[in-house]
Amino acid sequence: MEGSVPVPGILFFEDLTLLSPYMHTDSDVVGISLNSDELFLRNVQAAAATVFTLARPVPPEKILLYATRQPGDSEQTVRLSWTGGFPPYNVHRSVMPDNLRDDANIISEQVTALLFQDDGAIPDLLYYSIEEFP
Amino acid sequence: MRKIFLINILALTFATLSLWAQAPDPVIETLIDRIDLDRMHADIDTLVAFGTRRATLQGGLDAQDFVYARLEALGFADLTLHDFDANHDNVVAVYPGVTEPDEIYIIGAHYDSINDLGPAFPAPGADDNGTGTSGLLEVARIISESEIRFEATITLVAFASEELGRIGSKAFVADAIANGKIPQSAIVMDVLGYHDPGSTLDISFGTTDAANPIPGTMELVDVIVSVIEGYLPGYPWEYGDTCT
Repeated sequence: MEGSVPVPGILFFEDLTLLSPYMHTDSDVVGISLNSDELFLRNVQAAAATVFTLARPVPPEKILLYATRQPGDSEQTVRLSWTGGFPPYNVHRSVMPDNLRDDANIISEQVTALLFQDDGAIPDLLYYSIEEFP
Repeated sequence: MRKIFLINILALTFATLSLWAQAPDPVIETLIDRIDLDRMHADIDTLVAFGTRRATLQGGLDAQDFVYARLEALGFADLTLHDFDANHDNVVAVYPGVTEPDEIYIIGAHYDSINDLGPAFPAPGADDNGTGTSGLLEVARIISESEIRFEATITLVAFASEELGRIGSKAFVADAIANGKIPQSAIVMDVLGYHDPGSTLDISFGTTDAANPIPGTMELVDVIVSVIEGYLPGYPWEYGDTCT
């Protein structure tokens, strides 16, 4: 967006001075030119957070739960994140879906963040629910 | 591409940081936590497998169709191919704002690739710009799957023909303005994953003529600095000249 086009534009770039020497070559491949997953991930997160900040999220009324590792994929850790509702929250976990929301199945109470990591996951045997703290 | 680190601009940005400092939004925090590196790598592998994605070659057309199909599968109803010349098209997905739909923010990345030796030479383009393209698709995924809505409109654009002179992005902005849909600002991801072992690992961003940017740019820079400080605390950053 240059010259007479009056739209402010920002480019996220790997470095302002030390660019990949493999750019525009046949060596622009994973492991050579793309050699830092850390930098890659942080750049995407920064760009995404910027546009989300500018556009201003409207939290949904209902709680939407997301798990980055699903039980059953041999992971012992399940990372949960959710949006919606109002904090604090209770995190429920059960091996059966029917009684999931019982108080006996609360594994963490009054969580104020929208993130929770369960390090005691059992593959194929867990269900989760996030509820607003009464 | 000129890359000059501008200490004076950096100092100015630090000076204004306190004015923009704000607590991180937990919704945004959880959204960016969902960005999945494995998914992005899988998309890069797909893009690289298309071969050179030059705007005049089949690989570029395959990349265009891949991006379009992914956005369609994610449920973006307002999805178009922006045809501005005889070569490949921009892929444009609009995520309409709830309360301020005419307030438009662009997030984009170019999907084409070239080899400086010429069209006959391979240009896998994993870093330039498989990183930005896969990042754009990941942003699309987390928006779609989260069902989060925004007050303003987010328009996601996979640009064609960047490597031939930023033809796609220029055409997109020109047509947007002609149609009265003037974006407030544009955030572009381009070449995100090479780290020189001798340099500091930091987030770099900039604009054309960073010392004398067009109006509104420094306010945008302040937002980005606030975002980095809030969501990636302690992460170094630098601002300077890039091509946008």
